[in-house]
Amino acid sequence: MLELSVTLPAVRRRVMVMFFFIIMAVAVLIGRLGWLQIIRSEELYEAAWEQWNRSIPARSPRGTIYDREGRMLAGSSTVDTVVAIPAQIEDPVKTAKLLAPVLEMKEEELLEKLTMNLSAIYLKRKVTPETSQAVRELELPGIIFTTEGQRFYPNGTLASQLLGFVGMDEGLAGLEVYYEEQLKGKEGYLLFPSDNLNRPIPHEIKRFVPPKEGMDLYLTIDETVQYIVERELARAMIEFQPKAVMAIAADPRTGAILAAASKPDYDPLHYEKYDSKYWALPPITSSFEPGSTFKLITLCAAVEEGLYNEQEYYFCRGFASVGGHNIHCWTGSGHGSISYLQAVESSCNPAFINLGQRLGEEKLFRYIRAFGFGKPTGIDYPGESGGVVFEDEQLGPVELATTAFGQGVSVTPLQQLMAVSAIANGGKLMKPYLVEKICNAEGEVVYERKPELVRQVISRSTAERVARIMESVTLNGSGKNAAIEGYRIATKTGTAQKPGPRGGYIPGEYIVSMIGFVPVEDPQIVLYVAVDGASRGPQWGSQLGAPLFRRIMVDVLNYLQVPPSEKPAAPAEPVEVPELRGLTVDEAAARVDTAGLMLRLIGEGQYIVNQTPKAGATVSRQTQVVVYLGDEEAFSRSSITVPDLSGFTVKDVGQVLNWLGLYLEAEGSGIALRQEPAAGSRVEKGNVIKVFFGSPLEQ
Amino acid sequence: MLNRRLIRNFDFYLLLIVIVLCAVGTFTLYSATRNMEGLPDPLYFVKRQLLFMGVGAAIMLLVCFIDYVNFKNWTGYLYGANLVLLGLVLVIGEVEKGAMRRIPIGFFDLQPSEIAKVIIIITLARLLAEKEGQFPYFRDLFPSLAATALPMALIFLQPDLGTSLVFLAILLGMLYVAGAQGRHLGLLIGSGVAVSPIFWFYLLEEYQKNRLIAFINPELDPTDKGWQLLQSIIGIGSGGLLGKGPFNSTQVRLGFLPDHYTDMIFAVFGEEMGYVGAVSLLLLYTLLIYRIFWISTQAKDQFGALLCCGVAVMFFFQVMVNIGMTISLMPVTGIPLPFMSYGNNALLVNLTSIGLVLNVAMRRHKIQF
Repeated sequence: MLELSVTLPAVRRRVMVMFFFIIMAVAVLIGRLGWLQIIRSEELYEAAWEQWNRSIPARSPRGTIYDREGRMLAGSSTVDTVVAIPAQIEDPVKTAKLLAPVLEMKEEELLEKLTMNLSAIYLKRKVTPETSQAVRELELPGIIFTTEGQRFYPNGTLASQLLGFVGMDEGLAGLEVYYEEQLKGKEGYLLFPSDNLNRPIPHEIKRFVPPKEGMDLYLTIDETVQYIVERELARAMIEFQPKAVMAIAADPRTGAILAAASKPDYDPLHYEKYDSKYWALPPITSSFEPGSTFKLITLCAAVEEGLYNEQEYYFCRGFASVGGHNIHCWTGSGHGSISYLQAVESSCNPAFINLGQRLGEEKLFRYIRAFGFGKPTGIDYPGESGGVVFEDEQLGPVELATTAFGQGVSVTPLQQLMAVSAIANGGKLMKPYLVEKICNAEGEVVYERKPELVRQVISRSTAERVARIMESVTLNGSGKNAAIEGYRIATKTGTAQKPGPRGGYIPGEYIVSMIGFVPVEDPQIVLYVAVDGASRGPQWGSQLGAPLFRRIMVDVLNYLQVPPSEKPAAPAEPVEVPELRGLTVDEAAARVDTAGLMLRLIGEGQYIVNQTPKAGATVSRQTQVVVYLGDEEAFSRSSITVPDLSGFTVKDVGQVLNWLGLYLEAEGSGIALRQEPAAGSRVEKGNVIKVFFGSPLEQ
Repeated sequence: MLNRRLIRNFDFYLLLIVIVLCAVGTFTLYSATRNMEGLPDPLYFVKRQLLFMGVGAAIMLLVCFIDYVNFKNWTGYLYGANLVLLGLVLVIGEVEKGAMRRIPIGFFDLQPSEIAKVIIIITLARLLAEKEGQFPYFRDLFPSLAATALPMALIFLQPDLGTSLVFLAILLGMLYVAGAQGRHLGLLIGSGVAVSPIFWFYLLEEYQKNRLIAFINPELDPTDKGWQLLQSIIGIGSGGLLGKGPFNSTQVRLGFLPDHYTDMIFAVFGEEMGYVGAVSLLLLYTLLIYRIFWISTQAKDQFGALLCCGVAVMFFFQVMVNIGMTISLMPVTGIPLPFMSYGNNALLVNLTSIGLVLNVAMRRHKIQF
């Protein structure tokens, strides 16, 4: 220790005390250093590492979406994204000036980004290969590239609402959203160490951690069926000029959705240019009043409960009195005395009110809920609607009566599709689904969907009996126009009024629909179609829904190679075209419908001036009778308003123009898509109208 | 009058310790500044530090030639001149980080508060030595208190809380060694604590309060007040047992840590040299202080002994507070680490102080047997 000094013993003692105190203090410092540098060392090293390693994410291409046969619906390619590392940029002003024309961005905007106090910033994401190459050729310091995935669609807009679309970073609609986790994959990184001012540290190695690809979806959708559906929807848009059309098809045995679409739709590559209401898939996301198709539920309940007898007779006066209200049948005068089988065929409302009353509130609503109405089916698609069914406490005689024939409830097409699937498959309510299996990037199956039974809603015998009743709707009732030679087809039409924004119904606006399955003896496809707010043609299920249903079904049966039924109904007898001239549209529609024909309108006016085929001609069923609407002098004037010809065949267009004293110059084949001069313009007799024909999807 | 006895008594151990500290300091400074941006020369700070080291060494040796007893007689002039400088700095000083601390003269800035440290040591040594260990009354402390309070107040006004605290430490340490009674010192500390709320509410600047808040809770706002502290802890802690090696302090050198070559240089050293290096450096400082204390016990008179003790306390307090702040044991105050932090004035003053101690050592024996 300290050497002794003779002079200052007091100082010596105090110095020793003080030095002891100092040793203690140093010990505390050493202890604290040990705590930080040994015990917490690892944790603090992590913190340091994180601070000086900045990274730019490199995004993986999303997984591919295939149809059930492995045909690509949505693919993914890798594209470049231009990134700036502001600290590395030598001359921001010059860099901005050089980049502005290449990236098609404003110089000021670029300059702002280039001078930001960030480790890295996106200048422009997902650029074309040409742009990327042009930027590379500039060889600008501090401008680098990272990769990102970019969706592409081999079939253009096909199934766009179903697939959804992808924004810059994630799925924003449809299946892209629902399966985001599986599709998106794992981000990779471009790692470069940097300091506090985000300057890269010299001589440090940039490391690229490659992104991991997303998983692939295999849908239940069949690309060809989807194509057929969308083509016919597009055609219906032209022919009927409605607000919207929709269709959804499934395999009734499993609940696998084969196709789902509506028009108008959108282009997923340019989704931002469309109103967001077109992004949804109405067959799944919209619920509305079903109308007469809902009578099938009442029918099922009545049959199951033994309260229905085809041979029993009912007298329809045109209305039914319920709780002091008169509820009308859709026929003004009433059906008169009809059997309960005819009541289904001709969709008689009072007869179904009667069935509903026989069942009673409790039983009818138990069946309605058992069929899955009132809550979402649980399909793997975002934004599914559950619809609305009266609650028990809301129920009264009027509610019971209207619900029995499909008013006052709100359901989705998908719910109806699954309910009718249960009728087709022997009473089993299946859970609908869109994804069949999921494979990882290596092609291994990581998930496989099995059909899922929700519950047995009705007995097999009830289901088969209702199916036969539905078949007779096609043979003798409102489904005549959906009949396909050689196949047994079960259908039901519906016409629903549209509720207005302030309650009540919008006058003159209907959603007409048809639902059905084929073949009755071994149902393989169940289909729902609806035409919303058609502005051309009578808004009846039989006149709009049935032909749409039929056109889709004919091609789908052919494509799926569904064998014709062994005991098909006898081919329908040819019918005689009724005289329609001088009638209003409604009067003509009734006559045409009864004859099993279809009415197509052209021109504008109160009365039918001419028709083709002519009255008295013998034609096969489902033939279209084209009528011209106008006034008496329609054909004698020299100045003519050009009618809207879109959606008609060459033959029909030629006939109508002939009546008007105009000449046709036809181009292409298919249905009329465009015309010159446009509809509504006035021309002199003897002029030529140029009409372009083609496939509806070309438009 | 440099005779053989003086040379024989020259304390080479102390000189060796100081040389090692200066070498480690210069090396660390090089590591901390070689990648700094905007420097005319990567060796800019190292060169300046070496230059002042040379000047300081010259002053140190020069001091050795003059018998330290002479300083007793010059105390008044030194003290007076220092007060004038401290007053001047408040009037014409250069504003740096919200405080006026420097007077620019030619190629370097004079920092009177640094010089005041060594002058107060000399002044207190003289005042206390006169008492010859007798402090029967509390009022016997008053002359020393007054002598310290005056420069301290001027420094506090700059404002420089850290340096003024060094004065308090020197005062308390020297009073104790000089023989002041324990209860008087207790009373002094007690009254200091009693008036501290006045400082908090009326005299401390907002940034000084923020530093204290940040010391208590560095995570409170890691991007602002607690930032420096957090970065320092991350730097030192990430160094681990053996450190990242010379020139490899990523954390501190890359600009995450402000003042990394001045007040926070220990963080650079701790990160590069790890626990082993940091403890070695601490032990080196302890050895320095031990040697100075040893010399004080060998001094021929009370004045010399007190001079050495003052210098030892000054070094100890600065090392303790500086390293303590980098590892969050002490609040952040602008106190440099002796021989390590870059700073011209501090280096000159530290070497001059060592010169005083060497001087005391050379003339340690009053009576030759």
